[in-house]
Amino acid sequence: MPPKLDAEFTYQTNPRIPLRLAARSGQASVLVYAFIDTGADRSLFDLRILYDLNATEGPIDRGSFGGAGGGRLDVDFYDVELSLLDRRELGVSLPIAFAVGVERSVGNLIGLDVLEHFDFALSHRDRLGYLGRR
Amino acid sequence: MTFTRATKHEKKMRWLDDNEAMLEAKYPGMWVAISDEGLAGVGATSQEAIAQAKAKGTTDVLVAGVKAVEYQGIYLIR
Repeated sequence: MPPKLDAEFTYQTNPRIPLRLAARSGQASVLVYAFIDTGADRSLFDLRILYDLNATEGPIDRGSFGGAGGGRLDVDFYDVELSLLDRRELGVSLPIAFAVGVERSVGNLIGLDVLEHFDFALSHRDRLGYLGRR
Repeated sequence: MTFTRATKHEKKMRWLDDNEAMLEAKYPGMWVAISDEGLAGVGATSQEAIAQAKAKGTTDVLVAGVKAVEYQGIYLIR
């Protein structure tokens, strides 16, 4: 089946997109941006953002992330709803990892756990990205 | 193949791209709230940045953390 790539987006330097996050246990949502990182097994967001979501439930799991630098990062997983490009048709609900200080260092990351729900393509030469869902 | 350009929040993202160096110089490690018109709030936390934007009557904002000094000017492996 051919990919479905309805939505085209532009970027300047790195492929990063706006997305809306909402906690399943809360009513608030927040608009943030995140880098699309096909090298990341899991998505990662700054813990501070979680406070904006008024989440009433605690983490559903805990874990650790490792990277090229060799260090380990302790993370908490929360049930979250994400809408890529702030579009309802590009929404998905799943456990997402949150950790302290992500925004001030590498930035929020959209990893393969989110991307596996969508069709995705990139023309980095033209700084254009494409997202869709079958 | 036909594509629909995702223009929602494009102004905010473009403003962020165009002004990232300024933000890193002025507000390293801080949080900012960005509207279609530009910088709407700054704070030590995202909540403070959002509150500052709300106080100005702006609610449709994108919240972003500004890179801390130690992460500026280096290539990042994500």
